[in-house]
Amino acid sequence: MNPYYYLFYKLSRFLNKKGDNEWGVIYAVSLLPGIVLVIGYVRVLKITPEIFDGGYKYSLILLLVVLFILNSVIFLNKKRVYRIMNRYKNESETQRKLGNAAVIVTALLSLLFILFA
Amino acid sequence: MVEGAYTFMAGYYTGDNNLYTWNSVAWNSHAGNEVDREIVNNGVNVYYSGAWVRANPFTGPTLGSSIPFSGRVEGGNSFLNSLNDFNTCFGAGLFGADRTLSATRIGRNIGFGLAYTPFARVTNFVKPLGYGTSFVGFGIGIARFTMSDYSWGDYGQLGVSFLSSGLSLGTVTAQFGIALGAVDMFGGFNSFYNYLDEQEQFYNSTGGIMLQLNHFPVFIPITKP
Repeated sequence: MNPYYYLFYKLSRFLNKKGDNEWGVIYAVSLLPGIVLVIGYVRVLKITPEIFDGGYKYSLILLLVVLFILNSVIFLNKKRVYRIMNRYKNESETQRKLGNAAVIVTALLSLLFILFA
Repeated sequence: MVEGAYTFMAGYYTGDNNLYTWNSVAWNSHAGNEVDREIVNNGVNVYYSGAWVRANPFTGPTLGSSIPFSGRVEGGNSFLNSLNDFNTCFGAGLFGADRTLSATRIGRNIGFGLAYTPFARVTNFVKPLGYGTSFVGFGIGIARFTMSDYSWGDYGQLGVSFLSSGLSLGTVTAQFGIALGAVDMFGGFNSFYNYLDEQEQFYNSTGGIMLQLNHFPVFIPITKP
């Protein structure tokens, strides 16, 4: 099981019920790796506010853009999306509840990561 | 195929890049036709009055709209619903020659397969660009918060980032979220963040905040937790 694809599946079920909000799902899927990327970037490179507005800011923007484009390419592929949705749609009730809990915990951990990183 | 007593007005739009005017053509106001839509070769055909015609609101003459409508039917024919929305918004008389509408609004409300109209190619590009901008704005907001000294202004910025992201996730609210993220990314809320920082300094020295209520400054004491 690919957890990234599963996250996409869960978010699609929640945000794209009518099939008209694919960009919202791509945006949501991008948030989690985006948060990790941003905080990792700032902490690893020990960036301070004084030096951030130099080249670091534009490098970060570039990384975020690449991440978003990558996710767009991955999840705008109709065949792949069809495959993902078909793979997980037959999950049992227990699996569904566990999956929902896992996604909620992941989202909460991301928020805590921002506040306490 | 959907059948019904729809009255159709046929015509096409002319105009410049900003405003388009509806031009009726002779074969309008038919009634009792079968209606359907098919997507072919990057275009949309409309089954109208017993024949398939290429739908294009800008280079017609093709189908423009249908009136009257009994209302949107959830799960019903999406094309009719789109036209219905259009009429709900602007009334049955919208196709009078004196009416001008923006191209974006025409395309959005009529719901023709937008990919084949020139302006639609632009809007197709704008949507991901908006989401991308909002995403980058969110990332910058998180980065600034991570580097910050966690002042009130920093929390305010984090809150705006979250609000923008949250709104961007919804279908209806996405445009507000994207706009909020874009404004924030270009420093549109900096004065608000500075105001929060000033309030924090004031709170640290006095134990309260000063709010402007009814043109009078009001001191509100806050108990420290």
